[in-house]
Amino acid sequence: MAKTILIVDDSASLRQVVAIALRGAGYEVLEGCDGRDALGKLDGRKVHLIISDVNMPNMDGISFVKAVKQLPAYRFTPVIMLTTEAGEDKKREGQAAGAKAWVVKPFQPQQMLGAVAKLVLP
Amino acid sequence: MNASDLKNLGSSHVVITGEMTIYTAREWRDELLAALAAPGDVELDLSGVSDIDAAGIQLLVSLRLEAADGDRGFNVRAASKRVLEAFEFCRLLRFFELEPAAQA
Amino acid sequence: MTDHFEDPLQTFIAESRELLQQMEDALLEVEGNADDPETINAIFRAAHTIKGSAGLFSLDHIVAFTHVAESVLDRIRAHQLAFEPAFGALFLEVCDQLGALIDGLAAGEAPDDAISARSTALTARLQAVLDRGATPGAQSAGTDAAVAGNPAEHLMAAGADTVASGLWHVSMRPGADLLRNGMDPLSILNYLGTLGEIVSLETVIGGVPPLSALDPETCYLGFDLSFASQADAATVNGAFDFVREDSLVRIIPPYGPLDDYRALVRDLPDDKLLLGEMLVRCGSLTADELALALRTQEARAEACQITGELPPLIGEVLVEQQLVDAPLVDAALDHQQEARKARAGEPTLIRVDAAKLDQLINLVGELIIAGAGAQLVARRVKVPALVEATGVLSRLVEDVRDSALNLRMVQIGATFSRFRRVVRDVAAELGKDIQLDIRGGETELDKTVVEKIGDPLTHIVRNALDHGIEPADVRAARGKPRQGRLSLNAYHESGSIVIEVSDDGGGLRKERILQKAVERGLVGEGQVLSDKEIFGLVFEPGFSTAAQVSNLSGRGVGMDVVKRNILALRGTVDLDSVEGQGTTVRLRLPLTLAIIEGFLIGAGSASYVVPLEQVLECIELPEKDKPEQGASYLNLRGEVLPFVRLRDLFDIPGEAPRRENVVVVQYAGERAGLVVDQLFGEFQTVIKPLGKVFSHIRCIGGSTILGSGEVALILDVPGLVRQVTERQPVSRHLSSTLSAA
Repeated sequence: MAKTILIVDDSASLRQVVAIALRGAGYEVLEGCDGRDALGKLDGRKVHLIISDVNMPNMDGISFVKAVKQLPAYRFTPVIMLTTEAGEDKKREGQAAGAKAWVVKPFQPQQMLGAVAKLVLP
Repeated sequence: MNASDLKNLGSSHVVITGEMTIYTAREWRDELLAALAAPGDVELDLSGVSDIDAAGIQLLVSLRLEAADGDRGFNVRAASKRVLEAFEFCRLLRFFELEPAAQA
Repeated sequence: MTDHFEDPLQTFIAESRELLQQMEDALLEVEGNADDPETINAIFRAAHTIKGSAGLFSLDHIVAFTHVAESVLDRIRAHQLAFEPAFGALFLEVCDQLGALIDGLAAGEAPDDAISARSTALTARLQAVLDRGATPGAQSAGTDAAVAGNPAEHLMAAGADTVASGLWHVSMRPGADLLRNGMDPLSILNYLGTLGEIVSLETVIGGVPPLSALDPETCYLGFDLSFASQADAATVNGAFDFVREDSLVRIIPPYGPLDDYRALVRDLPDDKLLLGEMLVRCGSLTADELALALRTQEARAEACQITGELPPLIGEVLVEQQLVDAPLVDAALDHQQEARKARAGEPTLIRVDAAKLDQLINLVGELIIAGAGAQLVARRVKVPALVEATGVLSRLVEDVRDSALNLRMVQIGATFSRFRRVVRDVAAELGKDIQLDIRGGETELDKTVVEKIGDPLTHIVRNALDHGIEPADVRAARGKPRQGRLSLNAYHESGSIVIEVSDDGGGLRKERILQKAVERGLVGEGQVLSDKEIFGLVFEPGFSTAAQVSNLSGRGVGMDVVKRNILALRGTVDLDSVEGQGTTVRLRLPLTLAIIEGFLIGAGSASYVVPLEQVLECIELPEKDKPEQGASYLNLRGEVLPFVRLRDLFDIPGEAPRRENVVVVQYAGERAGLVVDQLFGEFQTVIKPLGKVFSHIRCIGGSTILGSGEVALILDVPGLVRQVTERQPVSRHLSSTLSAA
């Protein structure tokens, strides 16, 4: 049974690249274009991992993670934050909210697959 | 997710199905506690376990240790491939007296 | 630590006596035949091998004495010095003196004054010979190398600080909230597994509480593991990026400092006894190292008291109190292990005398021959029930054969592991920093093969350590990491086991090899050779390109012996090298020596067997494609295929039949065709070694007995392919030799 990963980012091209890499590695992929949109996808279906950007319109990444951790079905779902080199503060904020993993932008698809592999078994 | 508690031949027979992970660990702990409360040997059927993580494994380790402490038999009747692989990875097959999963 | 050496020392004594016997035999032979290079080589090799091994045991008096003798022999071997009749007597004395030194060693006595005096006198006589025949400038280098530095000191220094294990060690004690944060330690360790190979792993369950007290969302498990990987420290550390904040993770690199392990034992919250035991079981520490780690701790505490320094940390004191008494520790560990074994029902093992196994294999061999005979009869009389019954029987016999051979299969890992010590000791002696990587240790092969590859492997490894890998300074100057890397790798490939010894050293310099070969008359001036042929020269007797003769292997001895030993096992050896980047020596060996799947062919009235795994295809030779008399190439579907007629190869009399067949064989990437009269099909072949009478015949690897009782020769495909592709003159008069036997 393939594991499901939700990727949340306002850049469609980034979502696409990540989705292709993840699907290529055998994962199922859901996409959300911002925090609010992504919360709508969390309708009770099993999600094994969430990858989320920080800066997004409507609902930013930090608020999104906080909201996710309030949902009983998703409170243990690991979250990878997409941070920037300069975003140490945001990274810490994200960790406090419950996103314990991170990948620094810009990244290669291979780096993302490595981070994902640390969090979900194939 | 349903556990049947058949108290025949003085043993508790627990069937675990679905996920045995951090998401369901609390429920399964309560089921296993109930099985321990009953007298006799503990028998587990893990053939319906679709996924297991460290939370699930430590539940089974705890149960196994407690059964041994109480001088009660402990027996995993059947286990799914996923469970066997996890046990094998943790080098716990022997601890649970199981054979490795057949190579499919 | 001493008993570590006891067994190998006995082996050294036995081996030295054997070598001295060979040396003596060769010396007696050489008196009548002074210019046989093979005999001189044998004398030299005996001295060389004894010196090399003696160095490993720090037997300096033997090393120093043998070194001079070896130097003289090397001169003779290189034709820089003629073998004078007087030398025979001189070297017999050397032989006796070495015998006396070895006897003293066996008796556990240090050499007395009389023996030492004789060593000195003989050394002086040898040195005189050396000075007389010396080429200017080269003479003193030899003796200096033997005397310079006491290898034993290096060993002690290296042994005290780092551990012998070439594996990473990882201890992970997940934080309580790890699972709640969505992290599964199993995923992280699984990811780690993708960076290399988790060799052993222990799940620490000591912290798991009873169910009623267990918070299902808190992580109680811990993990200790040893891990083989080429990855760098940053990559291995990176696997734990996401959990480092709230988990305790300790990573110790291969050959890590013993101090790190000491700190590990101190810092981890587990029961210290269990932890120590676990480190040993993981293979990260040896029992000796564990004891040493604990003892040093004790000594350090005492030293602190004497010098009035601050007392050790409370944690250290705790460790001391628990583990201060080594025998007590051992007893406790033993006790725990016993208890655990009784509880967990260890797999039961039976020790069996290897001779009994050999007998079983022999009997199975006879069974196969008898079975084939029965099947032949059954087919001839054409009773369907009998044919079917013998068919079932032969399938069962095959199964029995496989299980019987399987009994003798052992993993090569144990052989590889022996080299950890060799690499560490030799590296210390040479003053180099070398890491050993082992891969494919689980690859299985026949015990008899394992036993025979130890020596050749040792030669290759020592050569790589000595000549392959550069000193740290040279490496640094060339922009390489200061630490050299030697890898041992094993894997199965089409019915063979391949063993690779690779180093990341300076590589071979082709023009140097070529130049040397021309000097020694192995290659004609101006002759053009392929890379493969040039590297092949390294395996010629007496070939060495080392600029400096060193104490260990420096004279190129060994590679010719390696080649001969490997060929005797029906294997091959080849070498790849890129100058400046390193060298890989590749041994290809059969999985077992006893039985092969064969393909039976006929030429004239004789039958031959080709190992099936080396047969590519069989085709009928079409009339129109028949090569002309004297041609050496066939047209195979438009490709050029070198070939040989078995009839020509073995001088089989009579006319070839009108319809001939070609068996296309392949070995190590080279193809060749064998033109034969008839194809008989697959055939279970029990290999019988050929008698000494046949040992000079090329292209024959052994014999077997057919079901009919006839003898068939087993073709040596590597030899054949080489001969056919290189077009060397073919051995003659085999059939007459055969009929005479």
